[in-house]
Amino acid sequence: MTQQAYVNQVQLVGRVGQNPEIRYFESGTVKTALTIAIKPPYKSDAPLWFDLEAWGNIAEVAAQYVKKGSTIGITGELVFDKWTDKNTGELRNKPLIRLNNLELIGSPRSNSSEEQTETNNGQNHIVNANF
Amino acid sequence: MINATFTIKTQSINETHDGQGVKIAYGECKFSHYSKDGVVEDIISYRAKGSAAVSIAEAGVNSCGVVIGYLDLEVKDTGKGYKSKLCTLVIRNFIPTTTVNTTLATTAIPTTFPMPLEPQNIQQPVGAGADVVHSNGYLNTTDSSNIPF
Repeated sequence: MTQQAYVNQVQLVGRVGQNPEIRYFESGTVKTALTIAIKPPYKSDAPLWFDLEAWGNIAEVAAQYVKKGSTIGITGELVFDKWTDKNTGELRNKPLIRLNNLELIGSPRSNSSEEQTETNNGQNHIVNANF
Repeated sequence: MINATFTIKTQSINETHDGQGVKIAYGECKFSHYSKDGVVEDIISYRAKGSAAVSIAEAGVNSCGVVIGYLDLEVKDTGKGYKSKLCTLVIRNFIPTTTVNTTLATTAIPTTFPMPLEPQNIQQPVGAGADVVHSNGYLNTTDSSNIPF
C-alpha cells in the first residue's frame, strides 16, 4: 500500500445525539464536533455512537442547521484522535469521523402530523409499487 | 446506515470457524488517513466471515486490498477509571490488490459464430447487445489503452 494513494471512506446516516459544539480558533478556522447514533447492521437495540468532527464551511453549516435529533447523512474519513491522559499518563485514542460531506436529511421533530398523513396518503401508490 | 470502504494491509490473520463451519478471519490491519503530518498509517482491528474471510486467508499476511464493510464500535471499561471505545472494521468483501497477475485475461472468440470482417449494416449483433447489458447499459467509447492497470 502506497503512502499517498489510499481509500478511507465512511458513509453514515443517523440521528444527531446532541447539539453541535462549535469552536472558533485564532487562526480563523472553525471546528464543529457532534455525535451521531447509527442503527447497527445486526440485531441490536443499542445504537452505535460515532463521534464526528467537521472543519471550515461544513462546520459552519453543521453548527447552523444541525440540531439534536436531526437526521443527517455524512461521508468522511476514519481517523484516531490521540491524546495523553493527564491522570494516568497513558496514550489514549478514540475513533473519529472527519467529515468530507454533510447532507441534511430531516429535522429533529415534525409536529405537523396531519400534513405528514396527507403526504403518506398521496404516496401510497408509489410505496406499494414493486421495485 | 453505515458503510465503509478502505485500502488496507493485513498485519495479522487469525482463523477460526463458527458453529456451522463458516470460516472466520480476524486480526489487525493498517489503514491510511490524512493528518497534520500528511498521510499517516494507523492500525485497526478487523473481522470477516465467509467468502471475505477465505479471501483474506488466501491473500496472507502483509497483503494489500480494498475492503468494503462497516465499522463496529464497542465500549469497554478499562478498569482504570475510564471507558474506551474500540473500533473494528467488519469486512464483507475483500479485493486483494497485491496479487500481480501478468497474464491478461483474454476472451475466447467462438469459432461457430464467425465475425464478419466488415459490418454489413449498422444494426448490432446479438452478442453486442448482450455485452451492453453486461456493462450495465454503458457503452465504453473511450480509449483505455493508456490507463495503467
